[in-house]
Amino acid sequence: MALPKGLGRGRTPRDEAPVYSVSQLNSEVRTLLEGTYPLVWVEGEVSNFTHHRSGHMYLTLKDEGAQVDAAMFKSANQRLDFLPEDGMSVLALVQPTLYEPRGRYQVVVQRLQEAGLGRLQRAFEQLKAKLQAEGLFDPERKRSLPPFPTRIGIVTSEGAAALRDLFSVLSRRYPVVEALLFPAAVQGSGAGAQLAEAVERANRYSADEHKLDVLIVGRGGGSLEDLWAFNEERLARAIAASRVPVVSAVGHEVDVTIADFVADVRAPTPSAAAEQVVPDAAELVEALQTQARQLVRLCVQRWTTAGERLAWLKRSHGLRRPRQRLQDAAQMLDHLKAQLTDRARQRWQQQQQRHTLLLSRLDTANPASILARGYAVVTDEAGRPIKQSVQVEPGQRLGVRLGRGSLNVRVEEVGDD
Amino acid sequence: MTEPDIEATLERLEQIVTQLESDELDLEATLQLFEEGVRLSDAVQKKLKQGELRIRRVLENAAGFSLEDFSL
Repeated sequence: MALPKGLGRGRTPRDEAPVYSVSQLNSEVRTLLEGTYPLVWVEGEVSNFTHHRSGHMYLTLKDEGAQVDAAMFKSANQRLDFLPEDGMSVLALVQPTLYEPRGRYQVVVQRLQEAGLGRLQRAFEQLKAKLQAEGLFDPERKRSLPPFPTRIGIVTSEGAAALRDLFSVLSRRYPVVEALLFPAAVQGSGAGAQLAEAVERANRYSADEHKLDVLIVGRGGGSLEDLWAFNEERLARAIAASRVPVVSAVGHEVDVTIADFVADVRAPTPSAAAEQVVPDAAELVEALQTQARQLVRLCVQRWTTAGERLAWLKRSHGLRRPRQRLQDAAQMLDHLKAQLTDRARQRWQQQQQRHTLLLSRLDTANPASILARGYAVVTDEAGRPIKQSVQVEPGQRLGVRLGRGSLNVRVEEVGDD
Repeated sequence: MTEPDIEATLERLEQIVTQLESDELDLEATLQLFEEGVRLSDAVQKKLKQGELRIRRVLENAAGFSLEDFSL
């Protein structure tokens, strides 16, 4: 065996390079491998798959030109949601390493996915990172929704069951809105672009025709592949550029789509979006009723004070007693509240009638307005109301309360008519 | 269309209550505010009661936008 030139006889290898034990060598190579490659994704095909009694899995990952031994330990493979089999295309998150006892290069698998999904996942992560870096997901970008919308745009496919749910929620909660459908395919090739165009169309409509208060973009549930259009960049950019606030409503509880990240508000389903977009009319009616009762209560307070000042009026049999009347009215509204049922329509109707009644009763109860029409109240010196002429004698002093001011008068003559 | 604007009406009702809580009103003004409040409350409730969801499909062509009634 020829030595390289320059290596003289009698010189030990120790002079040229350090001498390692095999264990040392393997240990250093392993450290080098693991240090150079942190976790990496490897795409390949499964072969020689065995699930050992110990719980660990052993397999070979290969493609057309090469192969590598792989181990997936029990702790990692317990999280698998599928069982690998020979011939399956997979995407594996691996740590390249060296199996020191045998000096064999191998990879330790941390996560394993079927490759089709894996590809989608990777595209998703990349786009997400890119848009996030551009600031499209920033909380400061999120706009709040108007509390009482009049016109709602909806971007989804026609005939979707999700659409029926959405309409039924709008109809039940807040039937005073106009729902405008901007149809688009939600799955299949070109769906992302169609959805993006529909969002842009809705924005043109809002600018040129009638202002849209909010735009719901979504679809019903489906598999990860079905929902894929909502992870496309084109749609993400259209949502980000929308001048109308966007609520994303992709029917999948588990997966968050790119559209969800970009939208101003995320709803888990189209019907949930409808719930978030409109107020509940029944609650609104209740709030209005509470307010009406507050109005009555405030008026009762006012009239109580006023009533004390006009104590002589309160004792009059000829005039309705305002305090009593208003208390009746308040009681009536209390009663009304007790009658609240789920049947909102009936409730509204009743309330309207009560309000009308209340108004007319309040009007008759208002002594100020009666006096203002030219009537007067006559009392004796003790403040007792005079209702018949036989109560007075000529020469007696009487008080007269007018719409504005009062008089002290002396009786000249008493008629009996 | 002269529908009552729900948001504006609720704001006005709030104002009315605030005004009634202040001490500067005579009885006549009190009653006027009360009447206005009840009237506004009624108008909004009527709108909510009579409301019916309108669903339209929006189409766009070279001539612009057109709407057609839509039902599932």
